[in-house]
Formats: sequence, C-alpha cells, structure tokens
Amino acid sequence: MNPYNKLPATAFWKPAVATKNLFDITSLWQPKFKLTSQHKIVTFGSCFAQHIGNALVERGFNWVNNEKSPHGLSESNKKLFNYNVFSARTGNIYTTSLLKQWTEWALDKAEVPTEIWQQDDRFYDPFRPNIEPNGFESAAELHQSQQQAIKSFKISIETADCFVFTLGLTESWRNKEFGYEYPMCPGTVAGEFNSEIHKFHNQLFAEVIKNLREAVTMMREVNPKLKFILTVSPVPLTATMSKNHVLVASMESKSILRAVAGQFSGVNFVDYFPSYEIINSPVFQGVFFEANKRSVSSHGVKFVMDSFFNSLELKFGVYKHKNIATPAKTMEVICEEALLEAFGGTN
Amino acid sequence: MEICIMGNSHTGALKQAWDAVIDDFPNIQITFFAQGQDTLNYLIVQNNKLIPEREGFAKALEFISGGKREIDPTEYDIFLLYGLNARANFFIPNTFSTAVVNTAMKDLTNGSLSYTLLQRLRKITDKKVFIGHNQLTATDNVISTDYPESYIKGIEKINEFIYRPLNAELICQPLETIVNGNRTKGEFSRGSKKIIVRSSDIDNTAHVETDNCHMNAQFGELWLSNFLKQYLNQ
Repeated sequence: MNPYNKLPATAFWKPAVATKNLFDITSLWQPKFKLTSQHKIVTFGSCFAQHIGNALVERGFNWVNNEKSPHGLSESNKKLFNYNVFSARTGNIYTTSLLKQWTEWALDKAEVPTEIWQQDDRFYDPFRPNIEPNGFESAAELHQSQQQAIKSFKISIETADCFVFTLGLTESWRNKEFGYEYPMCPGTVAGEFNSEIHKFHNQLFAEVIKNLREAVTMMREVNPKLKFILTVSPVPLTATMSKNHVLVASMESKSILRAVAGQFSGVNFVDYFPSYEIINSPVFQGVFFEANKRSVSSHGVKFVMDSFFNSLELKFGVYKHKNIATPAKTMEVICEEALLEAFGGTN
Repeated sequence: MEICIMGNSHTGALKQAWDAVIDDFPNIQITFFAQGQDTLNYLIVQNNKLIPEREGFAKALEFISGGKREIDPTEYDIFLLYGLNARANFFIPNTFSTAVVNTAMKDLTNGSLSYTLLQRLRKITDKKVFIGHNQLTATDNVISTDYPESYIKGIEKINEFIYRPLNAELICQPLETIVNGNRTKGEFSRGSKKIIVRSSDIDNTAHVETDNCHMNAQFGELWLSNFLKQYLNQ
C-alpha cells in the first residue's frame, strides 16, 4: 500500500486523460461552494470574464447587472456601449492592480484621478477608453458616467454573494507622476502616448498577489460574506512591451497569473475555476482557438462553461432553475486589448 | 376636422370609445384604417396616396373605414398612428450619456411599423402626424401611483429628438391610467376586444383574460378624450 492507492481516477494521467477522448475529460473542477439562483453573482475582469456573465444568465443563475442600459437600447448597441458586459460598466479590468484601483475608488480609499483625454470635441475616459465608442460630449458627462460606474461597482461589492474575477494581464501602463494605472496604453484606443508621463510596468508574482489580496480584503471588510471565484483568461497577449517574443511573454504572464490564482485560492472563501487549463492544455490540442490562435471559439467557450456547470451539478446535485434565459445570439466579446492589433505593426 | 386613424389591434379600444362618444364631438370626423398585427405594412405609396398592396386587405380597409380602399392625405387634416409597435420612452436624467440616450431612442423607433408608416406619410404629406404608442402593459400589482416623471420626460425627449423634426408628436397615455411609473392599471385591460376584419365582418370578440397588452373601451374613451381635448383643443 502507498498513498496513491486510495486516490480517485482523476489523480492519474492515464485514466483521467490519456485514454479519454478529449471531450470526455471531466471533473476538472471540484467547486468549493454551491451556487444557486438565490445567490447574487457579479463578474468582472478581462475579456474572457464576459462569457461567464452570459453563461450564468443563460443557465438561469442570478447574474446581477448593477448598471443597466436605458430603455429601448438594442442588444447590439448594449454591447457597443458596454452594457450587460460586466456587472458594472467598468470596462475590462485586466490586472489585479486595476481591480485594487477600482475597489479603492468605490470604497472611498483613493481619489479618482481627474485626468481625461480630449480628441477634437470628444472626451475619453482614460480608465474606460472604449466605454463610449465616440467618446463623451463633455468632461462633465464623462465624470458623471465614471461616477455611475464606480457607484455600480460599489453596489456589486456590497451586495453580491459571489464575485467572479478573471485575471488577464501582468503588463500594465501607469502614470509616472501619480502612480495610477490605465487599462490600456495611452494612444492606442484613445488618448496620446507621452513617454514623459506614461510608464510601462510588467508585474511580477509578488505584486500581483499583493494587489489581489488587498482588493479582496477591502471588499470583504464591507461584505464579509463575499466569496470569490478566480479564473485566468486563456487568451494570449495581443502585443507585449516586455521585449520578449509575444508567445514567451504570454506564457510568462499567464503562468504568473495562474500561480497567483492557485496560491490565493487556498482559503475557504476563494475558489479557482480552470478555464485557462481547459483551453490551453496541450491535451486539448488548441481545438478551442479560432484561426488566429488567440481568440477562443464559441465551441471553446461552451465547453468551458459546460464544464463549470457540470462540475457544480456533480458536486451539489442538479439545481432546477426558473426563468432560463434565451441564449444571446452573438458571443462577440468587447476586448480593447485586441484593438492593439490596429496599432501594433505587422498583423 | 377630419382625422385619419391608422392602427393595429390596439385600435380596438379607440374604435369602441369613438362609437360611444361620437355625439360629444360634432366637429370631428374620424376614419379608421385598422388591421391586426403588421398588416398595415402592406400600404404602399402610390400616386400620392397609401394604397393596399393586396385585394383582401383593400376589402378589409373598405369595410372598416366605411367605404375607403386607400388613404388619400388630402382628405384629412391630421393623422394618428396608433399602436403599430410604437413604444413609450423613459428618461432618467444624469444617468446616461447623450450618445447612449439618443441611440436608445433610435433603437426604440427604428423598425416599428408606426415609424415606417410615418416615413411613408412624409413622402405624400407634411400634415401633422400624432403617434399613440402601444399601451403600457397592464398590471394589478400596484406599487405606486406617483407622478410618472421618467415617462413624461421620456416622451418629451423622444419628441424633441425623433418626432418633432418630422412634424410628428408622440402622445402620452392618460396619466390617470398609469401605475408604478411604467404600467397601466389592470382594470383597463379587462374586457378588451379585437378589431380584425374577416370576410366583411368585424371580429370584435374579447381578447383572452390573460392579455395585459390590449386595453378596453374605458381606456379608449380616456385616451381619445385626452387626445381630442388636450392635443386638438376640441
């Protein structure tokens, strides 16, 4: 006898992986806590997090939208104006430092920078550069919208039962003088790059986990029952400033984020869902990527989300949800980072 | 004053109401051109008139209008497009950007048969067109009877941005029929009747009891009186 004798089949590569059809590889996640339609779930993070909100709605879970669109806006225009994408209109929160920044703003622990970007007669939010495709009509309108998003993010923190966060990037851009972070390099989606003002910073493990811990701690101070599900975006970088090859930079970045998520989910109120592994493991042979080897196909998203819900059912039993929503017709994701392709030289 | 009312199944409430109050408005002549669902989409512009594309439809219009098979704008002083998937608008100030609000109003309007017919009318006449939106859905669950501020502001906003430039005006549903800020009092949907012409006979049987989209003659009377008095000073 040895300790391995008592382990389930999922602990062994041959029965769990090697002898299986890749679509039959299951039980990749052992969820820590039960989710039902009674639980308020909010989602934030990088591009891939958008799929989770959609999938929750389609399955009848209580995905909470704290910043609703105005009456009459069509589904395609909701997407265009970034409504129903995350639980508040924050745009993509790619890094744990951005998550901390939004949390500090929401909980009045830091002042919201007054910086705005103006192009011709339109005004752009440096912290949500793609939130309004043609910018705002005035600085006042921009600030009002920004405050609305911060207020909605605060409500998300205060009232949710489960906060799903997808870690996306380690590479970041900051304001040299004041230290605050931009979600995108100025000058790409909007604004103007100035090397005297803007600084690139690639975050390492210690910094990523520290920012995540501080953000989560602040949130649980105002909502002690709040639980977290972390995921890592399987989507590779569009471009890197690290001076490494983009493939190497992607692997380094994702490896750090994966390690942070793994270590941070050691506590009972944080879980890790392996969407990253499902898409990126060599076992799956890249079948879930589109032809550009970067975007995740709708089949991949479905496989990931089916794994998520099947794992919940396997652990906690089938939960019959009321009001199953009609699936969204489009699965297009709002990803400002992808816009870098337009500025990044060779395509 | 000659009024041309074009509508779909929602017009049933107005027709019933007009039959009841016709004697109170001796200066008003109303001609109805109504058919269920999107049938009025088969009215096309031809020779400065709106002409039904299909013979069966022409016969139905002839029956319901009292003898007219086409809409000649020179015969009327004003037009009312009622129902036809025109939707109410709601506006909450200081919440959304102007771009978002304007896009939402375009989305709300574009594609509705009401707006399509308004555009067709504009090809043949510049006379004033009033728009009556699909009635707010009825409810028996009354939470508030407060002044429906976001509704009033929404109607003002969409008139300013969409309708006024077309010499058209979206009309408010009578405020006394509104509860919860965005719903119609349940009592106004009970006993609503259809207005569909089949084989030269009007089907005015009642809508199913669970129908909370169509309103009854009582609602129609309030709506029509409000329209004639407030908007036309009759």
